[in-house]
Amino acid sequence: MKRSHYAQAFESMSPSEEQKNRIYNNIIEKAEKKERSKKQAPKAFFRTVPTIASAAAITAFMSAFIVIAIQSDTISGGIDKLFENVGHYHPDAKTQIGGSSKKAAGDLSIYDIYYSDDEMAVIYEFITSDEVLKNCNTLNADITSKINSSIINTDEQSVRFVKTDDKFLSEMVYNIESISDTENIFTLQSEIKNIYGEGIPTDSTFTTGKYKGKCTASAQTFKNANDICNEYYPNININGSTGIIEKITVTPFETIIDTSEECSISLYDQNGCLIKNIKDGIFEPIPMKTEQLNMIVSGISEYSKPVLVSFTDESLEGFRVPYSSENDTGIYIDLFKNTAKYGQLNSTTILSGENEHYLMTYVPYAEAPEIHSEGQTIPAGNFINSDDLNITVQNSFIKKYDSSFSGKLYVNCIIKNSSGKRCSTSLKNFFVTDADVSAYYINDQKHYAECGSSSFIYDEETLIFDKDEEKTVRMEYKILSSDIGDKFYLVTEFRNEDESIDIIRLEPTVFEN
Amino acid sequence: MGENSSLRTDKEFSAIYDRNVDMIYRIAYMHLKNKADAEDAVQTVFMKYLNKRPEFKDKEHEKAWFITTAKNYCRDILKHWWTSRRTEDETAGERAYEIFGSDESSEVAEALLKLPGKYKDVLYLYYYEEYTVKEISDILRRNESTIRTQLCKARERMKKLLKTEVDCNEEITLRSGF
Repeated sequence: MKRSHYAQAFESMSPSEEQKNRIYNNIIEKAEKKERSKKQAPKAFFRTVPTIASAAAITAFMSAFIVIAIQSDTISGGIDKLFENVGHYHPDAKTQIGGSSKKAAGDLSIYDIYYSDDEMAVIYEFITSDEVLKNCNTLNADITSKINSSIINTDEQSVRFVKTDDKFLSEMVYNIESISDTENIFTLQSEIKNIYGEGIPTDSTFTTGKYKGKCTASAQTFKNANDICNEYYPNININGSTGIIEKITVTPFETIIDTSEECSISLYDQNGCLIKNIKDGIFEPIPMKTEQLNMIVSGISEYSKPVLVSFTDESLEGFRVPYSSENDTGIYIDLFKNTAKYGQLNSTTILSGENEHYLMTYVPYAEAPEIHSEGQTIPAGNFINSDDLNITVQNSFIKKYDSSFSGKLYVNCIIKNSSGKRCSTSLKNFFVTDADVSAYYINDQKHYAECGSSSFIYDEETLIFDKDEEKTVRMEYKILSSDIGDKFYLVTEFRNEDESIDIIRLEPTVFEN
Repeated sequence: MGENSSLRTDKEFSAIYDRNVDMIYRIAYMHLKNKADAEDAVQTVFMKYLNKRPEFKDKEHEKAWFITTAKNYCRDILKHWWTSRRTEDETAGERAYEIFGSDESSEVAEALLKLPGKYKDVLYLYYYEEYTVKEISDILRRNESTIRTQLCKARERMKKLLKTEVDCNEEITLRSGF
């Protein structure tokens, strides 16, 4: 298919002139309306945080179950619009407003919702008899983070909490930019009950507002952890139906446009020991279901950032990572204790992918494929990288397994600096194939992997050479596939200081089963 | 926000709107798959612009900002609870047919709408906006290799959907300069 085909298809999605004019007029009207309301809105009203003293009054007010109407005369028009929206999108919301969601962990009540054209304030009360919760200093971050993850398109907001004995009061103020902001409020209460239905939240903090923060949740069951993660952070999913997770910490980092772009995840074992922090990118932590391991968690980044897989059990001898995407199943990345530094306490494997899902399951080492005798050798050759660096591919070979084609490929590159001066080069390795293979690349302490047809496996590192220094770089690939296809490339890219790129390419090398 | 009372005569905003409205709409339509939501998205994105009034270094910066904002908005909408619980859009192709007609480009459009969002983005930026892989990498904040791979996988998906031949490796190789 040619570029023009795509271009025509995209062009057909363009708006009509009538649509553009209508949208433009809507924008102008909305902007003008917002400007007018800003001049009229009683700003100070929304900045009211319930004090301990006022909490009693609010509670009494709450008991009367007249939540919204009390302010309707203050904010004329706003309340009507609120219900109108609710009715449109969430027919049951009206009965939820002001009601309490009674759960084992406590009762959550939405005291009041103040609303104008561009601001909304929500006051909550959370009452609990849970001893763990009573020891918390703030309202549990489940609620806080839920609020923050639910409400989108907000420019500013403040979240403050007041604790009185076993009550937590909070007020959140934020700007309304879209209709969805108001709708989210009414899903909040019903969604929070899902969190409190099974989990015991502890040790929660939420340090700042939208753009910086930290939220922590605990869960006793996998399902609950999944729920919490989803509630915390829409981009986090945990697959599976069983498993053990004691604590997941999600920390949104500061970002400009979309706070949901980035997060970090801290994983703790059952004893509260930090296992691993995962940072940058959108990760989908997937606890490994295992009968023998306390916890193994994998994350994956939409942006092909590394994914960390942590081990906590020295008894680990090997595990299998079934590769799963929308259309592909049954392809495995196998990692073996005897081919890498696995099985150690807190050892780390870094996988690289593109928002693919890895469902990890543990299999005893005895069930993993065994490495058999050495197999075919890739023709080695000399490759001159540049005037400065002299590179020789020393040797390479594959090992075959007994059944389906799979093997390991080693390439030793001898790189000598003959430039007569100290220099550096960036070494990038690619694995390219047109077959549905899975493979991973191993280099020293780093382990990168990626699966699928025509995919890349890459690593990049900078090597610094003293004058006349010679280094041997060992690249190790492990290939697992039932169909290797008829093309197999190993591409090694060297990037020099001047950004010129020279490539070592071994191709095409056909491996036979 | 500036003086909205003069927004109607704000030539700068009008020019920005004209420069970007088509692109934002297309991005929104690709993701949201219906005109009404796409129009809402365009409106929201421009309201964000009016609220923030970001200063752009140049028109490319401006364009990148609108692309990112539109993409993020669509993602927010799609992950919203009622959107995510809606019946899977299996009829996207049928709707596309109604909208685009039955010519060749409509078949491609139908297929495009069925792709996952990440693939739509890279295809659109690459083939329609004619950004390079490096530029797409900067805009989407993904690695260049990721973009290449996603382009490749997107083509493969399109191939499956349209049942046409695409030599993915060849395209990657050419684009990568190997």
